[in-house]
Amino acid sequence: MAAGRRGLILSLAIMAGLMAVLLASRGWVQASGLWGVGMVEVVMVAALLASSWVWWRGLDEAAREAHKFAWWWGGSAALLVVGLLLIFVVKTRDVSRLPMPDGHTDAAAYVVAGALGVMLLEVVGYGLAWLGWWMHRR
Amino acid sequence: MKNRLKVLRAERDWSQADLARRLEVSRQSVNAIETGKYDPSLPLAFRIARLFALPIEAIFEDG
Repeated sequence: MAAGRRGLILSLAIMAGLMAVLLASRGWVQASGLWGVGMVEVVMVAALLASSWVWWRGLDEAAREAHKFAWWWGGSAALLVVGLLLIFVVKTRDVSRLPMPDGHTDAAAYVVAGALGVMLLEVVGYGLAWLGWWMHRR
Repeated sequence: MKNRLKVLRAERDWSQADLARRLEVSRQSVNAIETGKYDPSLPLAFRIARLFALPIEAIFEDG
């Protein structure tokens, strides 16, 4: 991808961040309210999709192949681990062994911890598979 | 799949980066193709063939 396009995306992201800070500081957007969070999330998703599209189009075919491999093998392996954890929790009904951030043990904290755990495992699996693909082809 | 990419590149005194720039791919991709660890797609194989002004089968061989 051309350096200019990367710079444009970075500039837009920084401008969007500054705009969000400005709106929040003026009280126009409640960062903790349902609508405020929803609006920020919609903007984030749109920006992520747009930048991902530009980034993907800039990749050559080998780089794309590495990501497809990582998506399938890394993502699937991570889901396998998630499945094992799920079976463990369902069978034992014991979530006290799970590490909880800040000691919160309410339902929302468990949902957040579960979602973050899945995301973390997916990222680790994806990263390892991606690295393995390139290391094998050095 | 075996190929003569490294030889053809050396004949023209091009570095992997030079070839990568001409093919609009990354240097890592050129390296992976040269070492036979990555088989290029048909469109990329045609681009390579056009760049060296050779038929595809003169650059890549099956097996």
